[in-house]
Amino acid sequence: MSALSFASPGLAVAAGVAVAVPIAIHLLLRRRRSPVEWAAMDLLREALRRVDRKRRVERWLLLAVRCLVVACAGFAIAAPFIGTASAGIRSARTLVVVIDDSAASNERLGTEDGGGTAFERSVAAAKAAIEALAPGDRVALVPMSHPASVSRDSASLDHRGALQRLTSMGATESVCDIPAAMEAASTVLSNEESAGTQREILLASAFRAGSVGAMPPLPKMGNDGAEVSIAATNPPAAQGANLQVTGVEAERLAGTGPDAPASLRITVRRDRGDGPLRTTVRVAGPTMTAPVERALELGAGERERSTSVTITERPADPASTLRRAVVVSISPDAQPVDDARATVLPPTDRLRVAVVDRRSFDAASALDRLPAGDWVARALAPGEPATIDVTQVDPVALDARTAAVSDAIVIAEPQLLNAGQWAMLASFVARGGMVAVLPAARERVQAWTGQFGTTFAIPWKMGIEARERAQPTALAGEQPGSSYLAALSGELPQLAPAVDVFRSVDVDASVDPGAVQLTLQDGTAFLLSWRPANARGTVMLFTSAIDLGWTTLPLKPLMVPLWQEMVAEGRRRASTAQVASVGSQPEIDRQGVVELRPVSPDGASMPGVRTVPVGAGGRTSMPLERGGLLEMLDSGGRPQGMLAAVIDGSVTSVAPTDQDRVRGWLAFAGTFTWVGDAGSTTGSGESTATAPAARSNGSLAPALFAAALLFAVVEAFLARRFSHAVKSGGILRNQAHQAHDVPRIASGGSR
Amino acid sequence: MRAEQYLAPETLAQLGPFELRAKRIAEGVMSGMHRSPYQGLAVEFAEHRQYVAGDPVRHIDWKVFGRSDKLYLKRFQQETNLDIHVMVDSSGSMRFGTLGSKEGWGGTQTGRAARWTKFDHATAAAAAMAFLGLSQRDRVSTEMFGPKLIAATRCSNSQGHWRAIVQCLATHAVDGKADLPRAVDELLSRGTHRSLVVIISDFLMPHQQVRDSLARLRHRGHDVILVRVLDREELRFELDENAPFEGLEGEAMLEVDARSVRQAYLDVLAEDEKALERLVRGFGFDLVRLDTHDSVGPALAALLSRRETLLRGGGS
Repeated sequence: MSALSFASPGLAVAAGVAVAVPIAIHLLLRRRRSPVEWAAMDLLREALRRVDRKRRVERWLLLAVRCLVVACAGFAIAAPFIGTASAGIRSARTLVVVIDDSAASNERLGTEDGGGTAFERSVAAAKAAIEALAPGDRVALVPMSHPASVSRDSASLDHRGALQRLTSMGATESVCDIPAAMEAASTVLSNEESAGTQREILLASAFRAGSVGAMPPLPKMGNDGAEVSIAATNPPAAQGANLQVTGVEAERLAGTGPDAPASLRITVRRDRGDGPLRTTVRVAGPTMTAPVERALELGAGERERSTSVTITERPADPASTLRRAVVVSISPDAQPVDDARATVLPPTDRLRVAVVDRRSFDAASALDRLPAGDWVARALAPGEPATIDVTQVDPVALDARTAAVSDAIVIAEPQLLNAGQWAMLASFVARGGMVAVLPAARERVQAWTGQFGTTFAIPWKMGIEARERAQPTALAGEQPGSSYLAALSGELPQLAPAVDVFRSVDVDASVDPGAVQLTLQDGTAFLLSWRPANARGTVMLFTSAIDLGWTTLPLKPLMVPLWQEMVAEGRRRASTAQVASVGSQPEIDRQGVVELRPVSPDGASMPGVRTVPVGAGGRTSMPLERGGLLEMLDSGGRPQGMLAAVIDGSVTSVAPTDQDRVRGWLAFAGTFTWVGDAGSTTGSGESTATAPAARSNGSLAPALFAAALLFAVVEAFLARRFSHAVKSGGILRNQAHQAHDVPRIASGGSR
Repeated sequence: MRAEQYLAPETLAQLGPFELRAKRIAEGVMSGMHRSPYQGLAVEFAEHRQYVAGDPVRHIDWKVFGRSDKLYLKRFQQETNLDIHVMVDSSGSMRFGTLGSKEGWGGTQTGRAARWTKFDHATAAAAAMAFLGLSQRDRVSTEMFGPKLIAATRCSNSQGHWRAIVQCLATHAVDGKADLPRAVDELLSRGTHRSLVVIISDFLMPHQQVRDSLARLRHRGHDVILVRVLDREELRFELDENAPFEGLEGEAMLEVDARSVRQAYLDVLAEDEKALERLVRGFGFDLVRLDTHDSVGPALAALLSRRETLLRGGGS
């Protein structure tokens, strides 16, 4: 049995209401006007009597035709169709397709799943669902990639447009944000308040670990309590192993100079597959003389393996220093997105350290009177050839120009600095510099600690008076594992205990235990580090002055590697801050950078890949879309550095997710069902809510449009006909013998 | 109102060549150019008729008896002066007019109202007829009628009578509902001789009234000319408005869609014209229709020309 239905019942109702428009016009046109004086009222009354009935018929006929024009046009827009009368046919559907276009969707599927990518599979399922919609059903698209966005604020009747948007979409390398996507879908469904509308969500995803993650149960979809049907595409089979490059770090080796070959520590992790794996690690970079390849094997069940690769770079020059970066890739596998990882290498030019101390005219006359600045300078540049340029600066001469030419500044007499100089140091740290502060050796009261804490927003509690220890206290042999001194970690147990401390400033860093880099045997801090918020640089604080009256450190073997590693690591960390996650909008702290240009591993430009603009505040105006290298360019197109866009391994993971876990995850959101490829329902006896049958036997819209057009033509004809717009000549013109100035005369018969 | 407002030079020029003659024998008290019903007293021989018993013997033509030994009577036709009564309708419907100014009317502008009304046109026609009559030494009177005969001049051909006629035409209100039979009754009650009665009106009244009036005039032997004055808008009805129509004689207001009723109105008007024409023809009288947007002269000239032709035995 066929029944008439409307794709948009609301529009059909509106069409019915619109019929009132010509009626209203008809009534309004009957309004009273100023009376016309007339003499031949009897003739007029008789004429009116004759035409009254005819005129009434004409008016009603015209009104009826006009109503038909409006009604036909309105009903045609409402898209009526004749379909089979089955359950659900009467109610329109609103389908929100939540499609996985995140990094995990780049997975290459096996041949039994079509051989394409997971994203292409999701697109095919979404297209099948959309194509199965009836003309009046509404559809919306919500991508899962972060940030979640709805292609339209509300669902649309434009199925073809939705299909085109699907076709134009592509898998991204962004994080999957299903909660945000489902919230957007819920918002779309909440806007569809028509009673009786079926509200459905299709989750088109492979539901890999990178997409689902550790998801808590989703809240119920829709805000008005109406049931929402949720369908999810069946996860494809997990075929093929996947390895991820999860770490690339430039190793810092103690004692190596700036011109030494760089060493990279590369970590590869197994994401999927348990058998033995073999891959080839390839390292390429803009400044490398040639790419380096190395074979890497993971044994059965081995989850992760690291290897060190030494790379050779071209001779350093100012331009290439700004482009030091590498891209580490492995052999292609099931997930191509995590097969490469970029990183920015620390600069290799000579370290420049400014040591701020009061100048001593009798320096070197006796070791016990050697000032702290001299000790530090000797430690940083112990002999020729020096790898670090050390400049000794008087406290009163410390200014921004000194900071501009320094990678690190050592403050040996902090009590002599004024507020402006402290502010300059804060700016220096923010830009990536390292500031090492020593207590004033000749002062008992360390009044500068307050200014120091305020300037760098230090969370620790610091005493203002040096504490004289009753017994010398040695550095602990078991150090907390300083990340700044990682290169010395093997030697510290031997070197540290040889250092005695006689006097120190108490610092309570219990609120920030990670700040302590070196401790004394009594547990008190000897060296602490602090990175202020939004700063690329580091602040280091010694609790003892580098003075023989405070500690024996200057005389011990730890002195030289401690200072050299500390400043070298500080600069390296500043450079590694130029790494950002895909999907984020990183803040670029280099002055004058206006855009980020993606470059290939060898540094060449990539035509067709759009650049990322950098706003006035230094933050990119759009999220990073792809992993890889991006070159910072100023307004003149000159390189200012490199930025590595990296993807976290957890985001790209293609480890399969158990279906029960997905079901449990979606259990509270709505009525759940699985659908197979192309939108067809699979599973054990589950409903077919998202498998719409072909419901439309034929649309009546074209016929109604034609009828509306026909009625419009009839209306125009009748309106002209009934309006009597075509005038006859009147009684004077009708009577041929009554030309102008010829009177009509009737005379009697006989004369 | 000045006389030239009624008698434009071009109107007089158009009327000049014609003599106003009564179609029927008019009874006059003065000798003139009109045929008298009283034969034998006049100077012009008319015919011979065989004597029958009872005829006055003084009319026997003895010369014919001497030649033929048969008795014949001599019959004479007496020419008399004509009494002309010009009745002008001054009812409310005559206030209607759509012509802003009357061009070719002696350079004058509209009269009483801002528009040239049917009454203006009627008085112009009446003045022309009166002047023509006076110029022929006929006695002329004018009567204004509405619900009754509201003004009249005496019937005279004296010098200075023209002034009285003009004053009569110019000084009376145009209002009320016309009652032609009553006006005719009042005219006849004045005991006028058989004469020419010119009735100038729009005749937007029941034809029964016209029929009654003409029957009484016919019964009394008067000749009648009906001059129907209609405005061009009444003749063409070219209004486009959908507005209420308000009568000038107190009729109820009518909601009319002018365009839709136009053709029916014209049909009704044509039927009314034909009916009135048949009515007038039935009495043997003349009817002429004037359009207020046209000049008076050509219409009256055509009327008089036709009447003269008929008197001379031509036409039908």
